[in-house]
Amino acid sequence: MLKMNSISRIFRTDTIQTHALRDFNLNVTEGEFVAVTGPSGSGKSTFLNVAGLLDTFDGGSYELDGVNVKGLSDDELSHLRNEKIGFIFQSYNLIPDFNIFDNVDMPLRYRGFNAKERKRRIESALELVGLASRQKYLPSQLSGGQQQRIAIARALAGEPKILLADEPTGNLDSLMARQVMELLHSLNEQGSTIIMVTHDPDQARAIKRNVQVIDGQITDMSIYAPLTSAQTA
Amino acid sequence: MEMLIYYIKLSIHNIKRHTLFFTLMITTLALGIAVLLANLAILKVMSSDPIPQKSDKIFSVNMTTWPETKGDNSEPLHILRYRDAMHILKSDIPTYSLIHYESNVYTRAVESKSLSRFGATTRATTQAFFQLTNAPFEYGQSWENENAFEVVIGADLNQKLFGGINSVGKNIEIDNKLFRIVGVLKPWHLKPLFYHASERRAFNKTDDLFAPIEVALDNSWGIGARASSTEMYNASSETREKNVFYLQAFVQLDTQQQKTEFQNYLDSYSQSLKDAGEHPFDINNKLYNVNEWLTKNKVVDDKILAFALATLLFLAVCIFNASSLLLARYHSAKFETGLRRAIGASKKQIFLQGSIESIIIGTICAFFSIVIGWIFLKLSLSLFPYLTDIANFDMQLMIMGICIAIATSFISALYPLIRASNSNISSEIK
Repeated sequence: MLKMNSISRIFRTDTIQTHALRDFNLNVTEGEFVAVTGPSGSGKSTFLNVAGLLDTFDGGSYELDGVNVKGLSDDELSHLRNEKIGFIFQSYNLIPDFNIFDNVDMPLRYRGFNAKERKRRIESALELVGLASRQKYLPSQLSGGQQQRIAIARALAGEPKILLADEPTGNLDSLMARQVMELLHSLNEQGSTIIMVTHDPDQARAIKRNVQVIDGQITDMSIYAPLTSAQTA
Repeated sequence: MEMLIYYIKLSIHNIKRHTLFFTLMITTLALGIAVLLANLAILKVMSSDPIPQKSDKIFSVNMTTWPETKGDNSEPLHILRYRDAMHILKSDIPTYSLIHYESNVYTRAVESKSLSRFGATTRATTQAFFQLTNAPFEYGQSWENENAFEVVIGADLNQKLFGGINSVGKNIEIDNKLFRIVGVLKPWHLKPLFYHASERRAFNKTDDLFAPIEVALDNSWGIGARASSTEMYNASSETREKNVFYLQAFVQLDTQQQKTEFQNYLDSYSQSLKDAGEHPFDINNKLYNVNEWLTKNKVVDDKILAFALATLLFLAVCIFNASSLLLARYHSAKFETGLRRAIGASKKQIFLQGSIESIIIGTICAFFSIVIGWIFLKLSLSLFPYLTDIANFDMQLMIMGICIAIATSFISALYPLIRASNSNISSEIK
C-alpha cells in the first residue's frame, strides 16, 4: 500500500540544512493500523506530509498503492491525494461557515461525482461516524469530538485507500478522545489502512504496529498485542 | 459544468461572508472604472468617424492662394475666395463638390399668425452638399436651381415653424423675402460636424436651414464664421470679386486617380495664380480626408487627452489597491486554500475558483461603474457644455464598461491568486 525507500527530506536556509527525514524506510500493507510516535521535531509530521503528498521529498522512492509518486505533476498529485488519501487533522480543519453536509462534500466535489453519488457517500460516511442527523449543523454547534468525527467522515467519504491522521485526539478531552479512537479502530477492523501520528504512548500501545521516529529515521518498529477497549479505558 | 456552478456558489458565499471587504474592493474598482468610462464617453464622441462609409473619400480642400507676403502664409488655407471656390466647382473630376459658409437668419412661416421670428443657423451651400454629406431627407429633396429662392430646413426648425408636418411647398419669410421649402431633413446629429470642424465648431448642432449660396450672397446674408480679407467689403454680396477668404470646399473623390487628377487640377490653378503674380509661395495645396481634417483641427480636445491619461493612472492605482486588499484576503483565507489543496484541489482548480470569483466581482463592479460613470459624465459635461447633447452612455460603451470591469477585477486578483494557488500546503494546515 505504502512503500518508502531511503526517503530524505532536507529543509534549507541560507546557512542551515536540516535533515527532517533521512534514509527513511517504511512499508505499510493494506488493512494495517500504524502508530507513528516520536519526540517533537523528530520528523513525524514531515513523514506524514510526504506520505500525504502535501510535501515533496529530496531523495529515495515512494510508491502509493502501486503508483511511483516521484515526478508527478501537480494535477496528478492532487488527483492521487483526492482519490487515495483521507486526512484527519488535529484541528479538524472544518470550514466554520459551511454546514456539516457541505464540509463532507468538499473532496467529493473535486472528484467530480454527480450530486446523487455525492449525497449517497456523504450520508453513508456520516452514518458511519454516527452523525447522520446533524447534516445541517454548523461545526460550531458540535462538540470537539463530534467535529473530529465529521472530519473523519470527510476523510472517509471518498473511500480512500489510506487514512492519515495527525494527532487526531490532540485537541480532545479523554472521553472524546476515546470515542474517536474507538471509531478509528472500528474503521481499521472494517478494512481501512490507517497511519496515525500520536504523542500519546497509551494510544500507541493500543495499536498493533508502532513506528518510532527519532532524528528523521525510524528507530523502532514494534509489534504490540493491542490492548482491549476495556484496557484503554 | 457542475464544477462551474460550485465555483459560482462558493464565490457568492465568499462575497456574502466578507461583505464589507468586497464592498470596499468593488467601490475602489468601480470609482476607477467610472472615471475612465465618463472620459471614454466624451473621447468616443470626439474621435468618432462622422461618415464612416466614405470618410476616406471626402476631402477638405486647402489651397495656396493668399496674396499677402507679410508673415508666414505659405500654409494652404481652408478658407477660399469666391473665385477659387468657383474654380473648384467648375471641375468635373470630383464625384461631388460643395462650397459653403455659415450664416444666421431670422425666419417665420408665412402662414403663421404670429409675427415672431426664429433664429436659424444657416448653411449657404450648393446642391451637392446633401449628396456629399448623406444628409437624410424626411420630405422632399434638395433645390435644383442654385439661384432659386428655395431652402431645405432641418427637423428642429420644421418643428418650430410647422409643428413637424410635411412642410414641403410651404413658404417662409427671411429678411422680407419669400423662400419655398423644397426639403425637410430628418433629425440629423452629425458628430463631429466634419464640414465645419474649424473654429471649434465641430460639435455644433447641424444647421437649421440650408440655402443656395448664390441666393445667400445676393441677399447679403452675413458671414458667421472665420473670414480673412486683404480688402474692405461691406456685405457678403461684395465678396465675389474681392480677396475675401471665407468659403470652405469639400470634394468627394472616390478613386486614387480622381484624387491625383484633382490635386493636379488645384496645383495648376495655384501655379497660374503665382505666375500671374497673385502670390509668391511654393505650391502646397492639400486634400485632407475627413479623419485627417478632424485631427488637424484638434477635434479631440487636449484637455480630454490629458484627462484620459490621468484616469488611466487613477485606474491603475485602484487596481493596485484592490490587489493589495485581495492579497490580504487570500492571506487570511490561506487555511481554507490549504485545506482544499490537501483534500484534492489542484493549483489550477484553486486558480479557476478565484478567477470565477473575480469575474463575479467584476460583473457587480460593472453595474456600479456604469451608474457612477453616468453621474461623472454629467458632471464632466459642465467642462464641455458643447458635448452635452451628444456624449452619452450608449450600448457600446456599457459593454466596454462591463469588459473593463471584469478585466480589471481579474487583473487585481491575478497576483494574489498566483500566490494563493502556489502556497505550501503543509504550512497552511495543521
